[in-house]
Amino acid sequence: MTLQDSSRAPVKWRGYEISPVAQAVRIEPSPQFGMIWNRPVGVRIQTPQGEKQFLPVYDLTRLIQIIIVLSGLLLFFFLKVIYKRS
Amino acid sequence: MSNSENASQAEATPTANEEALATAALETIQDTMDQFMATADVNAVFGETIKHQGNLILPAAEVVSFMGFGVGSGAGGSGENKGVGTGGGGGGNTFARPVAVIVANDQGVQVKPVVDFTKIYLTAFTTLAFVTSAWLRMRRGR
Repeated sequence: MTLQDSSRAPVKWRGYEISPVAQAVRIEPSPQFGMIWNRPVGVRIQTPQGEKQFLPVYDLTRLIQIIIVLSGLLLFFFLKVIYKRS
Repeated sequence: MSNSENASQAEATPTANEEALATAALETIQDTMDQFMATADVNAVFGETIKHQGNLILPAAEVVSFMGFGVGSGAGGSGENKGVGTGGGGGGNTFARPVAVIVANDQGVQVKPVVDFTKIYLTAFTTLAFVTSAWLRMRRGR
């Protein structure tokens, strides 16, 4: 498995310089099979004043899905503990 | 090993031509695989910039691609029923899902997340169904 960060040439817009950053996860368990997971990491910004910022890109859908599944598992274990005690 | 066994094994061995074909096929597919693995690129994630009503819009997506293949050759039989063959197959797919939109305007640059409510509802219903069925099973077992 390898991780690779890549960024595109900055886009100039009204004095702003916006440079998107992506990350690629490569999984190659055998020479016959390969998988690439490309995901956005964030954008590097240079303001007209010369200030540099980094805005991360969060996958809100996945974050909410993980929270729901973890809450469900927590509830399940909680119910199990209550059931065993009673 | 008897002489007759040796003879039948020799007859069942793929020819040099067959092996060369299989090797060439394997190399071609391996090249395709290498090209595929080299596609990890920022341009696959971020789309082309869109200028609309004084806004600069940059879409961002998650892209998952996978590819696999297999090649094989074999021989069997003896005498008139002798046969040699090679074969192979492969497949792959690419999934893309919007994650966020980067908007630049007079107020500055903002990252606006894209929320897929269908996926969230499906996850919630599946989790709820799992917890409810587990709870009912526990109560029945009492």
